[in-house]
Amino acid sequence: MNMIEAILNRYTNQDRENLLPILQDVQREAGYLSEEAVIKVSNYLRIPSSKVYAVATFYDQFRFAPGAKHQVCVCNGTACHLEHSADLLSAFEKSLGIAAGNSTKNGLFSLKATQCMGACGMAPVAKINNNFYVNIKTEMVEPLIDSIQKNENAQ
Amino acid sequence: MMNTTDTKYLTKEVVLNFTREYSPEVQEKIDLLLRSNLKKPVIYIGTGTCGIAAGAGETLKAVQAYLDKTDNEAELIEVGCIGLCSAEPLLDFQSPGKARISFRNVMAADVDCLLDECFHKQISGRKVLGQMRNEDHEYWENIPIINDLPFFKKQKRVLLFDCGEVAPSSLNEYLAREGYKALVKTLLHYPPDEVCSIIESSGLRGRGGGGYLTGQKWKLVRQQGCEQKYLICNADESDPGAYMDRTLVEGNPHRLIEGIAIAAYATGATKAYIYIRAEYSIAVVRLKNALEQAKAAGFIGNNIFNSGFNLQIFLREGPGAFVCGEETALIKSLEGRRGMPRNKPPYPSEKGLFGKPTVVNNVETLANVPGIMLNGSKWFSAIGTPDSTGTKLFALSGDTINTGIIEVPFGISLREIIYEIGGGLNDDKELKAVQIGGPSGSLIPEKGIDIKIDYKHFAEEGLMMGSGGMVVMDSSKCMVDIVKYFINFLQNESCGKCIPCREGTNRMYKILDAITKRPTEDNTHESLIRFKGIMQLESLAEVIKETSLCGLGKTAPNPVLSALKWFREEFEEHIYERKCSANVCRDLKKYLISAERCTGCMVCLKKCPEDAITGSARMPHFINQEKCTRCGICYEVCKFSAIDIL
Repeated sequence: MNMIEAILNRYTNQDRENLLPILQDVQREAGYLSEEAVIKVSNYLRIPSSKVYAVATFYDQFRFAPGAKHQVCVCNGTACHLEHSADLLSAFEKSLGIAAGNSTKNGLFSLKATQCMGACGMAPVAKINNNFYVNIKTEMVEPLIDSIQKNENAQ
Repeated sequence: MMNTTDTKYLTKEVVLNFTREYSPEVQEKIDLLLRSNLKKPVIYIGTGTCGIAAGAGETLKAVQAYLDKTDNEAELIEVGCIGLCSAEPLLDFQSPGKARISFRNVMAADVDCLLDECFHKQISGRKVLGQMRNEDHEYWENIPIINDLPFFKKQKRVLLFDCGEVAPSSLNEYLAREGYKALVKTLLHYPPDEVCSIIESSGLRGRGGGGYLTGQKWKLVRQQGCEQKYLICNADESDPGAYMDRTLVEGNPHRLIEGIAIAAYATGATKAYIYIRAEYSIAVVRLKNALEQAKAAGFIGNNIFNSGFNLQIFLREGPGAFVCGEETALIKSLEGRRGMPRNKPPYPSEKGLFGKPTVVNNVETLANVPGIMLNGSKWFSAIGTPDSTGTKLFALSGDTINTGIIEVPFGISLREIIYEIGGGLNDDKELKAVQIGGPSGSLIPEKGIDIKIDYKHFAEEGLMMGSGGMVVMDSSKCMVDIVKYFINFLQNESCGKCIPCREGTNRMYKILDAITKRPTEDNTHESLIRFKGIMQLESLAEVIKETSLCGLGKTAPNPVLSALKWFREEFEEHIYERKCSANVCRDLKKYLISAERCTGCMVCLKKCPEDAITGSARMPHFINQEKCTRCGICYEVCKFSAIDIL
């Protein structure tokens, strides 16, 4: 776990104001905040680990388990909602066989509804990792997931 | 990539030259950077977040591939968004001496064909948006001028005028457009008190929603007798459907930095924090790059231009909490704590970040500052109305033909925005309501859209200006559903510190959810309970408004109250008739197969995911209401329109 120490060493100033930037760096590099990471950060900044955890859980950005390989995000902004993003989300739920906020057992897919992505002119919008799918229709969901699944199987 | 020799040259010849009269050599350099004088063709691609979402990344690759495989040479530049999101991805082409021409919705597959047309100077008119006005250039025939298009004509683009034209990665281009001149002029010619007075007399108000006079706020901080003061730029824009600040940062990050520097000088702050939403990855990258450039060129740092003024700017990514848009919560978050607001007073201007006097300003507010310092407060106060000066950015979305970011002078009516800038509603549908001011804003019905947009009229009507979300809804939208959506958003984002907001928003959501759900029993007792729900909704809303700790809770009931004021009959219909006439609330729908029209083709029966349809070939089918989940697939697949929605 040298990575966490390397991140901590970048912050010479051990003030609490660095807590969030450090956690963000850890998540950027490790993908999530492990129990070990939380403890190490708390030791470094001399804040109880319960408080570090309390801060981290307050914000949407932090995850406490490794992310899936393909992270499906369905935008739940106002414009998308008006274009029936709830139906889109249930289409993804159905296709992946999981409820929003969860990952598939094989760790390939995760699904969540997110805050506005700011592509309101093209609602409804979904994002898989960094690829945007705009003006997406519910019937496009199944083939999309199938094609990703097929690529995975081929590998 | 930055040419530092050019930067030094421009700083000396343009930034420090306050006469605005340049020698021919300098003018030539400026023209080159403004691209009014070109050596080889330029291709611009809008790669803001909305452009990327629409596929600009692929378009960019296709252009690069085209340039690699053909002999045609051109410079490829990534720019911010011109605001017309419905036309993304945008590709612009400009050849020497000719006007810059814009193409809309250019996908990767269209690139080869369009660029062939451009390089052969034979524009077919396909995908053309228009050409840019520039009297030094020769115009293309039969191509409209962009500035005359309805979307742009009624706008007053004081902040957006160079978004989509200036390359956000280039400091030199900004300098050629008199960038940082306002900062240097301010530092060398105006004492801080005078800066506060200039901003105050310009009438600039905080664009984050509050509408407090910026100059007065600065004075309050200035008067504090404390050594260390802070400035915070609030770029934690989390309203769903609002992305004005992001457009500004992505389009021209340097203007924001310049505004921050002037504000810090005026208030006496030596450390500034930009708190920007972490999801805005493109904006974060552009801002980081711009900060480094500004530091290297000496526009921020120690003893800026020998004025004795020191400024450090830190970039902090907001890890995603709507409530952090509230200033005291934002300060907590910057201190490394849970972003929960606290009681005011003391206001941040007395006790803010780390207990020191702090000024918190919104991105749009700060971006207005350089223009005011450069052109004077009279120039600014001439725009808009006497009471609300300047312009306001709105994120126009929903059912209008044109959607995107617009900048309008105060005093314009909502009608002009919807029907002229927005181009009216899609498919000529009827306008039902406009939601303005984000999730805790208000609904304005069709009959109210002649209202003038300014702080005075909004205050009279009890409306909130908010930060600038504007959602236009046609007659197919259900008001109960939209209110439920906003309240759900707010109850999720309530930080949980004060009870009225934490419990109150949750109760409001449950009441709204109950009236959009199918009744379990068909008796009058249940309707009575539901009716009591609506009575309680109103009194609950009043209590939450009165007793909540921060702005989030105080404004949370706004959507409910405004919807009850204007669309009460829709709520009543949901309660008494259990009907959603807009057919949005899924649980209240009932699908029935007409025995006369059904041909027994079995398509719906096969497609039904719940096996809720029974029947045999050439016999009318039947929907089992117990099993039906109202997904509507049968309705969509029926070729004989044999399915009715009740």
